[in-house]
Amino acid sequence: MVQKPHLLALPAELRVMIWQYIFTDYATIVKRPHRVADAREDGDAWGEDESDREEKSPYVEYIYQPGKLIPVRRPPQNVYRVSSSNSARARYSGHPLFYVSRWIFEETADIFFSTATIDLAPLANPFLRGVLPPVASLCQMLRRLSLCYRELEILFYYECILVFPCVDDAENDCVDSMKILSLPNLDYLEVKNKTESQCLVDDGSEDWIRPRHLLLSLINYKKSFTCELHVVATNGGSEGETQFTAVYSAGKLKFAYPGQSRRIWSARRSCIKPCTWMVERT
Amino acid sequence: MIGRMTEPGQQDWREFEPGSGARRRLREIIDDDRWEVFEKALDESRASSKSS
Repeated sequence: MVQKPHLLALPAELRVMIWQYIFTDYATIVKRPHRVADAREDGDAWGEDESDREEKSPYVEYIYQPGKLIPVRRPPQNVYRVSSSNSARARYSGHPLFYVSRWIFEETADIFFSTATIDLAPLANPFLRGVLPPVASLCQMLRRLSLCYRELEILFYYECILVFPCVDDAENDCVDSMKILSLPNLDYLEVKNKTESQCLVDDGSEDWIRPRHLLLSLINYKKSFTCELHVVATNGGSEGETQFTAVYSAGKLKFAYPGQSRRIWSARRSCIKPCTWMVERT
Repeated sequence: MIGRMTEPGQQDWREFEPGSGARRRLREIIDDDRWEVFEKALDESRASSKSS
């Protein structure tokens, strides 16, 4: 019996082509009419019911196991906002939008590990197109892949980015925030000092949360807040400690890094452990 | 902890010549109506790898 080749043995460029093929397929599939913009017209906040939110939730990671995709985390369901047009954007006031700018996948198998990012250039403009995840389609594609290549454990997720309603000249704020929130290295937070605000994080049963999920949850529930995060990161041999303050007010999220650096966030993959976190009502 | 480790030996682009098993395998995962475009991109990548 001929052993199936390893997908990771393909030339890297070819692997990227395959992933692009898969995700381009995605983009094609998800190019559907959006009800979000239409909903604005009649005053309905989002124009979607709970089942829609369930389907569209962007904060889901999946692990592919033979024949199926397994969601590994259920993030907040009610923070998904997609804008499909400039006009929808213009009608926003004080609420951030979310969009998916890229997919990130990791291929892991036995001792092999690789990661790559697919930038969905045509989708990079959130005001042109929103993205919905047709999981069944992706699953089908991965199943086909696994028939031809050795099984891989593929962990993939997509980055969700906050976009703020930048009317006037607030464009720069928007860009800054996007950069920070789009870093995949904002990994897990261990909540040690629990406060009442923890209930705002949906995965209350877990000790680990993602800082961006925390922030997005807070944004979804609060009109304004100040969140101080103190984290310890480990990344192989390198360790670091940092803290930052996120201030959300009037529809804008800003970050302040007192003292040192953002280097902690630039680590390729960090396991981030917070020492403390605190949320103040403002 | 996941980390960067050794990857398996990389296949050479020459293994993806028309009619090769490697190319047939790729053909199996790409939809019929998309193969032509994919194949073109594949050959362009092969050509650029040769020239570089």
